[in-house]
Amino acid sequence: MTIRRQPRFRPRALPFTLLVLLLLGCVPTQDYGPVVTEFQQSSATLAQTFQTLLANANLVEYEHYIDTRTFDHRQLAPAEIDSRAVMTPEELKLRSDAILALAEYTTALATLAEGKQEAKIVQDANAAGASFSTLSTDTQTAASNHHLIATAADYSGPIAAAAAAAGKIMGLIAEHRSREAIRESIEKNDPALSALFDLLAGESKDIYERQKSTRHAQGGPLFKEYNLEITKATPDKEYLLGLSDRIKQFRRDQALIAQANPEPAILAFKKSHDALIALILAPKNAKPQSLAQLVASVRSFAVEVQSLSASTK
Amino acid sequence: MTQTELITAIGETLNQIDDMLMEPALQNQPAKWQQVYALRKHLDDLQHDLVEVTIQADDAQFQTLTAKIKLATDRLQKVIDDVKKIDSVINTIAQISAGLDEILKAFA
Repeated sequence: MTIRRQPRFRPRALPFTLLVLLLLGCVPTQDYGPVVTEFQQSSATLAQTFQTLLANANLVEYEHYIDTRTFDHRQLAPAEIDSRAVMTPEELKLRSDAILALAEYTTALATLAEGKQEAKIVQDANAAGASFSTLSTDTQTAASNHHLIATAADYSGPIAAAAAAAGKIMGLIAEHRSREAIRESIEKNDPALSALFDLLAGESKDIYERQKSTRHAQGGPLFKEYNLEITKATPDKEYLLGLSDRIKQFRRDQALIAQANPEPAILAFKKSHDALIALILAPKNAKPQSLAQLVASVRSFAVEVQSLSASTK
Repeated sequence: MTQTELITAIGETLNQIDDMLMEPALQNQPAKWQQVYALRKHLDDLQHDLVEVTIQADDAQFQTLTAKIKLATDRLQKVIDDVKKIDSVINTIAQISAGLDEILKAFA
C-alpha cells in the first residue's frame, strides 16, 4: 500500500504568512515585486558607489599634494603624502558600513512588506541586525583613531540610536511577533534611522565638495606650463604632447566630477525608505496611493543612483 | 551658513581662482599669477582643515564670521572676471582666507 506523504504542517508558518499579508494589506504583489527588486538593486549599487567615493577621498588628496609639490619643484616624501589623508581606514569603514546597514535594513522592510517567503524575511531581518551590530563596533574603533571626526559623539550618537532602533524592529520580525507589535515598533523606532540618513547625506556633500576642489586645482599649473613651453624658441614637442593629454584628461574629469555628488542619491534613498514605511503603516484603503508614491520614489532613487554610478566608473 | 555651505562656498571660490589661473591674460603677468597661486594654495590648505573638523552651525561666533566671508565671496564674484582688477581680486581672496583662518582657530 502506498501512503501519500502529506506536507509537513508548520504551526508558526501560517500565522506569520498571514501577518505579512496583513502588513501588506491589499497591495497587489505583482505590482510590488518589481519595485522591491529595483529598490534592492539601487541600494546595493549606492552602497558600492559610495564606498568608491570614500576610497577616493584620500586618493585625490595624495594626488593633489604630489601635483602641487611637483609643480613647485619641492621634495616628495611618502610620510608627507600620507599625512594629507582626510579619513582613517576605520572612518572609511564606518561610513561604508553605515550605508550598507541602511540598505540591508530597508531591504528587510521591503521583503517583509512583499510578504512572499517567510525564510527570506527572517534571513533579511537577521542580516540587517548583524550589519547594525558591526556598525556599533565600527563607531568605537573609529573614535579611537580619527582624522575626520572631531568628537566621537558626532557620529556615535546617531549610529547608536539607529542601531538600537533597527535592532528592536528586526528582532520582532525575526521572532515572528504579532502584526500590531511590529507596526508599533516601526512607528516608534524608525524615526531614529532618519538622523543617520541626514548625517551621511550632509557629510558626503562635504567630502564631494573637497574632491571637486582638489580635482579642479590641476588646471592652473597645467595651462601655465603649456603656455610657457610654447613661448620657448624650441618647444619640447614630447613635453607639450604630454601636457595636452593631461589637459584633455583634466577636462574629461571635470565633466565626470560634476555628476559625482552622492548627496542627491542618499536623499532619494531616504525618500524611498520613507515611502516604504508609509506603505507599511498605511490603512488598507490608502495602500494603493502609498504604493504609487513608493513606485515614484524608487524610480527617482534608481535614476539618481544610475547617474552617480556612471560618473564614478 | 552651515559648515557644509561654508565648505561649498570656499570650493566655489577655489574653482573661480583656478579658472583665473588657467587664463593666458593672468599668466602674462607672472608676478601676479604667482601671488594668486600662493593664495590659492593657502585657501586650499584651509579648506582641507575645514573638512576635518566639526562645527555647530548655530554658534553665534561662527555665524558672524561666516557672514563676513559671505560678503567677501559676493565681492569677489563682481571682480573675478576682470583681470584689470587683479589687485582687488588678490585683496578679496586674502580677506576670505583671513576669515576662514579665524574660524579654524576658534573652532578646530
